[in-house]
Amino acid sequence: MNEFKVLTRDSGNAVIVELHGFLDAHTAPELEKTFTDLLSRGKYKIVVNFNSLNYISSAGLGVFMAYIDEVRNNHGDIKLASMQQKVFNVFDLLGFPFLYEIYKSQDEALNKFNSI
Amino acid sequence: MSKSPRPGAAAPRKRRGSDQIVELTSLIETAKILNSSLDYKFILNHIMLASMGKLAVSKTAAVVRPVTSVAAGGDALVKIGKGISLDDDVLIHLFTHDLEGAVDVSEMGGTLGGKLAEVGVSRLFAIRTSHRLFGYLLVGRKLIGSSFAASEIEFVSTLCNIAAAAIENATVFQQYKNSNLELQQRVQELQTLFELSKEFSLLTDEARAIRTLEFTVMGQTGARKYAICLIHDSKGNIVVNRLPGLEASLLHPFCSSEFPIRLTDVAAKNPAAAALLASGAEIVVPFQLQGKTDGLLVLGERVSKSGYSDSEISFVSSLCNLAAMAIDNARLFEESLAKQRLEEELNLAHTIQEKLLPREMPDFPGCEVKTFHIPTKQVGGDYFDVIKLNGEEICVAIADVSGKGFPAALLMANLQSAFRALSATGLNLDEIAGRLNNIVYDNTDFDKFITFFVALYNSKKRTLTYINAGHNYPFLLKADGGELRLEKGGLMLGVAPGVKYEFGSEVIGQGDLLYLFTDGVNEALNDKGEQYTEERISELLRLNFALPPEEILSTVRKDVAAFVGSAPQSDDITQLCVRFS
Repeated sequence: MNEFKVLTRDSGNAVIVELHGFLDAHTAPELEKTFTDLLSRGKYKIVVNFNSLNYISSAGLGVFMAYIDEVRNNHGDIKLASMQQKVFNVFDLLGFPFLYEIYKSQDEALNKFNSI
Repeated sequence: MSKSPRPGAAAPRKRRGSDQIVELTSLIETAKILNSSLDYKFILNHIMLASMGKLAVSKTAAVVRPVTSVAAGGDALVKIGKGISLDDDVLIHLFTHDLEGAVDVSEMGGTLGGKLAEVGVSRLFAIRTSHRLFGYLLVGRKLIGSSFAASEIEFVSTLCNIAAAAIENATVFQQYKNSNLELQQRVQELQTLFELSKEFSLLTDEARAIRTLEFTVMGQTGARKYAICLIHDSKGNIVVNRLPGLEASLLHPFCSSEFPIRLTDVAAKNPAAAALLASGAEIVVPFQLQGKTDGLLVLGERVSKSGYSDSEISFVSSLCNLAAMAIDNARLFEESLAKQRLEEELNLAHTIQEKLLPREMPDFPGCEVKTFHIPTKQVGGDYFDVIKLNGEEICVAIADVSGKGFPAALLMANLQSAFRALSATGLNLDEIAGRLNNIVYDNTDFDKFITFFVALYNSKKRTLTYINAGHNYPFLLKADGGELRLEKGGLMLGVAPGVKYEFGSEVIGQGDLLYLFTDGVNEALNDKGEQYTEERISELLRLNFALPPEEILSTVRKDVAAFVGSAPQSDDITQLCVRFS
C-alpha cells in the first residue's frame, strides 16, 4: 500500500485534499499537480487530510512550501489535519509546525475556515 | 504534587530533635521533587522559596548556566530574581570567580563583593557538584536584622547541593535530547539523500530533476527564497528565481566557484558577494560534476529566519551534486534521442533517395545500359537516370550536386523531378539544360550548383547528342580503338541565370562504349592522399573494352577499391556504362 493517491473534494468554501500512501520525491509531482489545479481554479482555502498518509519525505514537505506563499497572498491557507505521529515527527524535525497550522481533525481545520 | 517544603517560618532559638526531623523530611522531599524535574526554572524557584522560608529573607536571586549541546545554543543563562536583579556584568564576574560553598558577601571585598552588596546580596551559595559549577543562589538580608545561624547556612547549602544534582541530571537529559534530535536530523538527511539518488537515477528530464531538487531543498531546509542557475560554457542561466532582487549578472562572478560560499563571510572583501547579499541571497552552493561547476543553488531567507548551519550547507551541497548528475544524464539522454531521431530520418531519406534513382534498366533494343552507385553517407548528392523516350530514343544523364548530406539530397531530388518532367516534353537538350539551369539557379544560394551531363541516343539515326554542363568529361570509346571525351555544353547548373548551352553530337558505330562517372571515381583518395585520376580510368576502359558493361563497371569499381585500400570513401561513387549494338 505504498502507492500515493490524492483525492480532492469541496467542503463549503474550502477544499479537502486527502493524501494516501507515500509522499516522496517520486510522488511529489502528483501533489504538485493537485495544488496547481486548485490554485488555477481559484481555490485557496485548503485543508489537507493526512489520515491515510503513511510516509512523507523532505521532497514531500517541499511541495507544501512551494505553494504556501501564493495561497496566503490570496487570503487563503493550507491547514494540515489528522497527521499520524510518524508523519508529524518529520514535520516537527524540520521545523514546519512553525509555518503551518496543524489540527487534530479535519473538521477542526474546516471550522477555522468557516469561522472567518 | 506536594507544595514546596517550607520549613517553619521563624527559626527557633534552640534546635530540638523534632526540628531536625522536620528539616530532614523537607530535604528528602525537596530532593525527590527536584530530581524528578527537568526544568531549571522550577528547580531554582523551589530552592529560592525554601531558603526564603528557612532564612527568613525576603530577597533572593538564582542563576544557572546549564552546559548543553553547542548545537542547541549552548550556555544560555537561566536566572530568576525576587527583589534582587543581577546585571550581565555581575553575572560574568560570578561565573569567572568559580566560588564554592557559602560566602559572606561582606567578607568578599573586591569589585564583585562591592557590586553584590550594592544590589542587596548578603550571602551567596554555590550550586555545584564536586567537579562543575552550575550557578549560585543569592540571598538578601534577614528580615530581623540578626546574622545567619550555622544550621541555617548548612541547610541552604544542602538545598543547593540537592539542586546541583538535579540540575546536572536535567543537563544530561537535555544533552541526550539534543543529541537525539541531531541524530534524527542526520538520519532524515541520509534518507533524503538516499531517496534522491534513487529518484534522480530514474529521471530523464532536466525540468523534473530541477523541480525535485527544489522540493527537497525547500522541505529539508525550509528555504523560502532561493534560486537555481545552470551554467553552460561558464555562462549562468537562471532557471528558477524566488529571490526578487536576483539577476543573472550578479551570479556570473560565482560561476566557477568550487565550494559553498557564505556571503556574509566574504562580503567585506568581495564586492560581488556584497551585491549578491544585497539581493537577499545568503549562501551560494555550486553543483559540482567531475570537478566542473554546472550550476548554482542560491539560498536566501528560510521560514525559521535562522541562518544555515555548516552541516546543512554541506548537506545541500551533496543534494546539488546529485542533481548535477541527474541534469547531466537528462541532457545526454536528450542528445542521444535527438541523434537517434536524426539517424532514423537519414535512413528514411536514404530509402526515398534510392527510389528516385532508376533500379531497373529499360528494355531498349539499340543499346545495353548498366549503372553502379554507392553513396558515402546515408544520403548523397549524386544523380543518374536512364529514360526510354520511345522505341528509337533513350536518354541517359548523370549529375553531381555540390555538398553532401541533406541539402545535397534535397537539391538532387529537385533536379530529378525537373529533369523527368522536362524530358517528357520533347524539348531539345539545349532547351532542357537551359531550363534546368534556371530552376536550380532560382532554388539555391550562389554556393550550390550541379554538374550535369545528359545524352540522347537515337538508335535509328545512330547519333548521340549531348550537353555537358560542367561535369567530368565522359568517355566515348570507339570500337575501332579511338577515345573521345564529351565536353561540349556550358556552365554548371545554378551558377548564373539564362545560360545558353551548346550541344555536341557524335555518330555511333556498333560496339561503341559510353562511360559516365562522377568525381567519386577519379578523385578517390588512397591513404597517401593521391587521386585515382582519369588516366587510370581511361587505361582500364581500354584494357577491358571487350567486356560486357556490367563487368566493366565492376572492374573499375574493384580497381578503385584496391587503389583506395583502407582509406575511407570520401565521396559518392556513380558510374554508368552504355554499349551500343
